[in-house]
Amino acid sequence: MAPEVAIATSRAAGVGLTGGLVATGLVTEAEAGWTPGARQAALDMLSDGDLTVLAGDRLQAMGKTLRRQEQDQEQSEMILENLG
Amino acid sequence: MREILQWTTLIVCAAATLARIPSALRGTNRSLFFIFLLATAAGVLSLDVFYLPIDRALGGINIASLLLRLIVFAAIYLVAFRVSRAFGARDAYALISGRIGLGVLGLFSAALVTLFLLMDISASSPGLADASSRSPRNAALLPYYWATARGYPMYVSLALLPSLVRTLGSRLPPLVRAGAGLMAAGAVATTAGFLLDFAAPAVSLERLVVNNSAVLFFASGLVMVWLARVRAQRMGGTRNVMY
Repeated sequence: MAPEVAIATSRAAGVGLTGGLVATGLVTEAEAGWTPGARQAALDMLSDGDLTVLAGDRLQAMGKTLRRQEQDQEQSEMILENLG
Repeated sequence: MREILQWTTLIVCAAATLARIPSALRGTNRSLFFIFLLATAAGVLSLDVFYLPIDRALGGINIASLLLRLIVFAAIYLVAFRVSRAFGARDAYALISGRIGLGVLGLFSAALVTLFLLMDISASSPGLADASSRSPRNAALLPYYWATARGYPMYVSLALLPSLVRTLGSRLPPLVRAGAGLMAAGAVATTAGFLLDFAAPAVSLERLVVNNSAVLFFASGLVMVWLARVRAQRMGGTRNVMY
């Protein structure tokens, strides 16, 4: 995720602006002034069900991106094979 | 101006043919070599300097003109066949090389030959410019001959245009999209060439410009896609595309 998008997302979500940067791994939790272990604590608060749904959503999004890339790649190959 | 344009087209096509020889010898997409070769042949026959001696050798009854039109048919068919396959355009593929497509090609070729045989053109004249003054029957038939000659390239161009525009807006490599854009311009120019046949006199400069730029657009579009392959190979190659 681009830093601009991370900042915009955290602004839209109504959390601290640094939240997005921590989430994307651009700055560490300590650099953002979070209490030690804050992220782990927040994750621990979620139930197994919520976590699984969250992971599922992310995997689905990743699957879509990968499939699109594969299709693009396939189409590229087809074009270069026939016209290259 | 007229000569410069025609020579430019011929030189571009001839250069592409020569540059394509190594790939053709390797067996990589030989049809691309033949496309450029046919375009070069058409370029040669379009120039009076070559047309007159060639037609004289063929009997001096303008068979070279008919040959030129059939070469154009073959070239545009090959281009469209490869492009529709490359871009996975199933609709265009059916209209061009499916049963319908081949039927249309046969129909246009038969009509062209029939119209040619019905005319009385027994003196070599590039572009059949002097034909209509020879007899009223020629004058009546000639517009149909030209409509047929330009009709098939226009049909193919229109069939191909949607898939070219689709590729232009895709996420494919920039060189491929540039190639599709140039070929789309070629398709538009081909269509414009057909329409100009009804609007402008036979040997007008507008017609020459439009028809020559159609050839140049198609040729440079094909060269762009070919460069995309060269680039892909240099950057380590995409899977299965290495030969």
